[in-house]
Amino acid sequence: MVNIISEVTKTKIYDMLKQNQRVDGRSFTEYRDIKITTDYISKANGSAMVSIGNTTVIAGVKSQVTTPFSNSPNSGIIITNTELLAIASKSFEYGPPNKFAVEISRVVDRCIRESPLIDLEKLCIVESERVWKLYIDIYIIDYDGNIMDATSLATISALLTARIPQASLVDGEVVVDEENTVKLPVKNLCCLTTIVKVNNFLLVDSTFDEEELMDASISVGFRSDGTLCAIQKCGLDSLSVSDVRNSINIAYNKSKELISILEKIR
Amino acid sequence: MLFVEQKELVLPGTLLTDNDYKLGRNTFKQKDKIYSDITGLAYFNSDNVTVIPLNYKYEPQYGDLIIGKVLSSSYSSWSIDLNSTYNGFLPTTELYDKNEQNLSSIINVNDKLLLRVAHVDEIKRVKLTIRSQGLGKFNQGVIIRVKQPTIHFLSEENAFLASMIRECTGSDIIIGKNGLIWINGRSEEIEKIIKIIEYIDERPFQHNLIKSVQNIIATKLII
Amino acid sequence: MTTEYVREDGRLFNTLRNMKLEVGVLNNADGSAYIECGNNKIIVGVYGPKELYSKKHAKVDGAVLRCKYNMAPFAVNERKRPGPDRRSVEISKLISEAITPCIFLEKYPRTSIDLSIEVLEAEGGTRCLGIVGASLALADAEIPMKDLISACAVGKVDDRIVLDLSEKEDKEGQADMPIAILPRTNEITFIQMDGHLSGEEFDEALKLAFEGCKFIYELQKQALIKKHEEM
Repeated sequence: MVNIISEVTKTKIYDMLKQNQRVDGRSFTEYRDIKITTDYISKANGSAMVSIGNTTVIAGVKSQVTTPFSNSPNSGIIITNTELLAIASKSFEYGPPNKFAVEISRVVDRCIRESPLIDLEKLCIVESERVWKLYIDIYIIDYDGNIMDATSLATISALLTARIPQASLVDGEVVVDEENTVKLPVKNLCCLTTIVKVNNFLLVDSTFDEEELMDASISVGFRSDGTLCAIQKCGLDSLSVSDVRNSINIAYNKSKELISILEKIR
Repeated sequence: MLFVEQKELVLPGTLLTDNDYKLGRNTFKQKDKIYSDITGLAYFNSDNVTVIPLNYKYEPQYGDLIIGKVLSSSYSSWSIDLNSTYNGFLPTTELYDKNEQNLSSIINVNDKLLLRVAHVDEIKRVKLTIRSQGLGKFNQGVIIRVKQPTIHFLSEENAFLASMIRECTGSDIIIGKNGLIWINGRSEEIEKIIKIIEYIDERPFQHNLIKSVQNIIATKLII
Repeated sequence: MTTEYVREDGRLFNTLRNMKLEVGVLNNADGSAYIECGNNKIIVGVYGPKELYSKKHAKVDGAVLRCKYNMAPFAVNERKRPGPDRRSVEISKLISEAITPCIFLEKYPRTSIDLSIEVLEAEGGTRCLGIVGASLALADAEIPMKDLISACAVGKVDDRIVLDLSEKEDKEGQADMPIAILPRTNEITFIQMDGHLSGEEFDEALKLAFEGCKFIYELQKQALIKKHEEM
């Protein structure tokens, strides 16, 4: 059996996992190097470039005054959109967001909405008439696995450091003061950790090669006080009850790490 | 006249020479002047000039000895991964020939083969052949992928190195033009050889690399 | 006594904004480049040449260059809806035509070369910077080219011909003319003009544009050499 050594093959990953090792030397619950740069895009109200190992994403926050939804007249609006850029990977093609991009947007959106990261009621300017709408756009520019966690870190970092103009009511008209900006009203810090199951092993922060072999994955969101605020299972295979419980425990431990990183950004 | 030096880093559009040299790979001629078309190192021989790319994008040419991986099969041929922009094909007629008995081994997807480039047509379809001395399927050993400059160093500039390694260790080594090298022998020997090749791969353009490599072989391989 | 004309941002008529060029910034792409100029931030990625199996799209006599220029929603003052708009479609076509004369497409029949220019932040002159970046990304991907492509914009502001318009000068100026050239042979592969220019003003603008491009050409070469010295 001739193996091309410099290729990371399925058998190589499986063999190493059986010996409690990963190809890049990390432990099963270790994150790769996380780098976060905030205020990266000056035209955006808030922005963050996050790289986890070789995966890099950029999130931008833009604010706009708009009419609220009729069923939540005194609440601000958050709209999350993720794009997997063609430059990020050979397998990404141009076109409308595909199902993975849509899913990532929605999972991250729900995690920050349920926490809630932002106190949406404080984004209300005039009840039933004018509220702040925050657009969060995330660009995946380099793909080496675990874009769910990278996207959530980028989104949360961008929101924590975003500044929006002050809006006030003057003689019945909404006046927006672009010169004086304020930070967003943050309520509960939260974070998201994705655990991938490969051949019965649970791995944190999977690389592209590890993801290619995954049976299933589960993303778990925690608030800073230790409450669960999001769960999403992905993948074509099933998870056992103990898989899910163990994943939640692992994610809980990781959340301490991630929350402390986010606290420093605030 | 030569406008750059031997092994100088050149860029797309760099003027190399206005001598009447033959055009090697990655060069082009415009109004009697020869230019480089990529970023790489310029190599002048007595009558031709080539630019060696710094990464491992191999381009198949007639006669090249290559190591390929079988990707898929169809009724008429096997599709072979050449570690290059284009895949090659090996016609099935190559194997079912009553005269050549040693070619009756069965070829499956993912097999690694030692082949020669038989023909490259104008639209870059690469026809391969397995009918020649020494060509065939690899059943054991390991294959490593290296950059083009390393292949150039081992096969063109210092071809004696391969024989030297074979003699010193009793292992076998075959250098594929397409950036893959096959090594077979005892695992400790294989590891030492891989270390030497990795050493070259990290610094293929180092001044007097051949001396350092010979030193390493002398100290590490000869017990 | 003549005083030098000083523009709103403090530059002289022929001063380029500070430019930072980096080659090979992405791990997955075959070639990539990143450009910062003023507040412009542009990333370019190239995949290819890769064999194209779709008979409908593949060309037998050469590679197919597929070029996409795209602006991020957060790149501009008013958030832009994601997805191609008419401006992006036009610019994609022009950039593709600016680059095609330079590449030896005939060397790679039946393949595609996919180039993406992503504008992360825009502040005037993104199409020229996109071309500058595309040239570097293609060189990084080792796609054979006749030369590097240099590009910059000139325009008329306050009745003066100036180099490298800022966003404000672009909006409020009297003319805007981006061009791209192959510096070795002085061939023009891209030229557009918007506004009013007399014949003489055009000649002056063209001359200034060529000077700007030649300067940027040197920066591009340095960026490529720097990347390989690090290897």
